[in-house]
Amino acid sequence: MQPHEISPDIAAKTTPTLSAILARIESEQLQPTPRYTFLLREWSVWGLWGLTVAVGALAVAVTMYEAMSMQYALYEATHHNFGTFVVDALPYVWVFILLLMTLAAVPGIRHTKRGYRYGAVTIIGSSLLCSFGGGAFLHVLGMGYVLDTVLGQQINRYQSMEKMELAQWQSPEQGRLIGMLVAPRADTPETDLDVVPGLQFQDQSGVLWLITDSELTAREMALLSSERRVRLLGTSTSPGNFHICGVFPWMYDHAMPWADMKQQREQFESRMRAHKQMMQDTLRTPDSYPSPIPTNQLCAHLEMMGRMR
Amino acid sequence: MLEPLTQVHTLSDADVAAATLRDSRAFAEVVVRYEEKLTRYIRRLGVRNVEDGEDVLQEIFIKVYKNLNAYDSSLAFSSWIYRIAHNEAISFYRKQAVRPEGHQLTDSTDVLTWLPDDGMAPADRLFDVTVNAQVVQGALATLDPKYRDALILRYFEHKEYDEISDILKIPIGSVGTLIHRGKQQLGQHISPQHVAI
Repeated sequence: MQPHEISPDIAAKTTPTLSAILARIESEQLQPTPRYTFLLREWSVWGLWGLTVAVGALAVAVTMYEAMSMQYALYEATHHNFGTFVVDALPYVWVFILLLMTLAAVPGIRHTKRGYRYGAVTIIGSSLLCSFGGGAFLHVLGMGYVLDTVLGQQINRYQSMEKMELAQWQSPEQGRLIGMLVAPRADTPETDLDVVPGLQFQDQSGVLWLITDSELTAREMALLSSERRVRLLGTSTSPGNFHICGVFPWMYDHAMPWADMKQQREQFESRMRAHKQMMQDTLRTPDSYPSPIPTNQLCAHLEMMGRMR
Repeated sequence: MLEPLTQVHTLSDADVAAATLRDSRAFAEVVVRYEEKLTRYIRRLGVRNVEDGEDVLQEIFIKVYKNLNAYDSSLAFSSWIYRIAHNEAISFYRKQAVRPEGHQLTDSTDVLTWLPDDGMAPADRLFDVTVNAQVVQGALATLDPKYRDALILRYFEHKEYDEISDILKIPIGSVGTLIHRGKQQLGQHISPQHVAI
């Protein structure tokens, strides 16, 4: 038989259209398009959907990381209230990316073989579900922190949680410093301690401060001497001098477990409440209101005490 | 192993499609089975000119042939081929930069009693009577194409909702909505004096 030859039973039903179609197939040497081209197209569409979900998951992971950091942030030290802090800290870019990716999934899925069977709500819902599931998993692995920090380092305009906290805590005029104790160090020989003029703290900008620690607890002293980057809350008593009211770990050097963040937050609250209690005790006897404020009561009069509940 | 072509007519549509991939001669059976149906369908969609209709029909079958490997056997073959026909008719309008002006209903006087009285909406009751074919044709032409396409498939091509969903590539829930709204709109366009109860 010749190609496209019509069998006897079909020949009996031949119409001009059938003849024209068969003739065209033969003359143009048409062939069915190979299956793999359709499979490739289908897979690429699903791949694009997977990509939107993956990017959405990264967005969720970073958002979760930032939300958790916000939850345990020491916001009273930097903002008037939690609301103003949230407005400053919300990861708008990632929320926007998540929404964009979720919406982009709709036309993608609709272009799959059976995607048209699903309504937009189903597609959006399932994409969000996958993004949140994947995002939560990535967050547990610490990817939220890693991505946020790496992007912050690589992209100037990207406002990472670390950058935001750095900007808010490196503010001497507002009583906040980030940095490290540089002298005396743990390995300074005891015989040399007399030579060291006092506790020297180098802040994030490289400025050296002489710090006073008369109101610190033993735990805070240990943290300050740990040779790790810390946050100081206090007040600048004169140029180059800083009176410390609280020492808190710098939480953005690594992905910190939520339990640790919670603990830091509790220690901060407890410390600030202790200072506040001292302030209330002072004000209870206005006749004895000290002026000038004794150096061992400076912390009770920090502006932020009014914001502590 | 190829089926002898003399037995192709005993195969299901999907099997004929599969046979065509092994032996292109089997494609003639697809054309034989669907030529009349698709001719009627594209005419109802508004391709009224006979020559245009033949051109469109030829394009449909050529597309079917070239895309046989894209056929998903979880779908009814007829849904798949109707989808191609629908898209080709739409593509024809676009190329011609015209919209369909009317619909061939005269060959479907049986559809004038299309809808069983389910006692639901007034629009449904309207369809449970004999209606002047030209009135329906005129009313149908005024409908939004998405409603018109759904009504044509449901009541002229007698397709089930899941088939319409597959042909128009819309969620099955939307099929019901389109048909319901299409019937309501159509009911509004058919005045009572045109309806002989």
